[in-house]
Amino acid sequence: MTGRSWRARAGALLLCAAGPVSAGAAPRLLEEPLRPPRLVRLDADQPSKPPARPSPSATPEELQPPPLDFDLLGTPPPQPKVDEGALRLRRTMLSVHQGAGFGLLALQLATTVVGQLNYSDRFAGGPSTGRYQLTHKVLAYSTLGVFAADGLVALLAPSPLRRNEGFDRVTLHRIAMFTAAGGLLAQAILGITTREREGYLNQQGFATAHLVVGYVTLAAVGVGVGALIF
Amino acid sequence: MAALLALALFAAALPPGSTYSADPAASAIRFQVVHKLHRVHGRATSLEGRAVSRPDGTVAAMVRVPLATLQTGDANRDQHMVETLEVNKYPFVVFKGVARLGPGGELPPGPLTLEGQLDLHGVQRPVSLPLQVEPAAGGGLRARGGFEVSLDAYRIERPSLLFVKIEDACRIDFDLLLREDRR
Repeated sequence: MTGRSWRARAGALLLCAAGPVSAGAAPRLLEEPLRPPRLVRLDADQPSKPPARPSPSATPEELQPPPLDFDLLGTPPPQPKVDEGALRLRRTMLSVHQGAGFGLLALQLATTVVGQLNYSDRFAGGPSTGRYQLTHKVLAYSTLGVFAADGLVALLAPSPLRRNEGFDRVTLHRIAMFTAAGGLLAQAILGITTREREGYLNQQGFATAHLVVGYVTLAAVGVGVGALIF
Repeated sequence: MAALLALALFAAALPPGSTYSADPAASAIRFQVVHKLHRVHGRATSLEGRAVSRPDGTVAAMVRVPLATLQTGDANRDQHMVETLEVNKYPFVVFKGVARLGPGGELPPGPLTLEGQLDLHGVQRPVSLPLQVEPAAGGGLRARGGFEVSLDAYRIERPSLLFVKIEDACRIDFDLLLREDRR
């Protein structure tokens, strides 16, 4: 298509779009002179919209954010300074304590399960194979060692903000862990006594007490850990 | 009955120049944060608050809470909170706000919205705080409301448990008993 025919077709299209001109209507002059077209680049930034008109009912005060340069309470009372270094050390120690605590719970669970297997192997009838004895012993001493070390970390952690909050989760945690400490001590004594009562009629009685205290200790450790999680 | 209602409406106004102070013993500010495993509820054990009705038909209010007094029922967590909130640097959380009253200082029938700002952890952010204000049984006014703040927005490092951080939103609810200051 040539340039001339293209322009002719475009002109015809524009005339069609303008609609029919009634025969009787006189040509009307524009009231304003034609202005040159305003060229807009398509990739140019859009002109910003004019700010929204305020509602006629809005007062000038309502249009401004309220000034907040007032002080109704005066100078605040001085607050006691907290030893931040001690707080950080405490946080580090308690993070270690928390991680070791989960390890302790796993160890305690494993010791109890293997202890139950050992008890069943020894006293549930049939010849004893003794195959759980060494595993139980290793787990039991590991549990005792981790418990002692973990407890020591918690007890030695500084506490710069001492408060009496009554019975709270930490109190429950402490009660449970002191119960577990007693249980572990009893476990050690009963475990050694059971081994020394080999060949005596009351050996099973000591072993049963050892087993029961083992479950109580596991429950205490579970409560102690759960008190701080849930 | 009508007389009682009229009395209540009359009481629910803050005449210009009147000042009310929060009664800490009868007021409460509580907060709640959520972890995947549990919700932590805490409260402020100390607070200061005052509201002043001004001649321009507005009421200005200010509440200040020392952050070291927040308690959650777990002394370990409270100490961690003190560390996280950097209480030595930013000892208080402060709210300031202004609301428009009726021409005679009347409280609106619905919630009163305080437009203001919350200053927490060294960050000031605008807050729009709707609150219900009604005459208290033993005199004074009771203001109740709640709002949520984003811990991230206030640049507070969210504590974590079992490697899971608490959620960003911290819900704050308050129930303040405001008693008129006698001059």
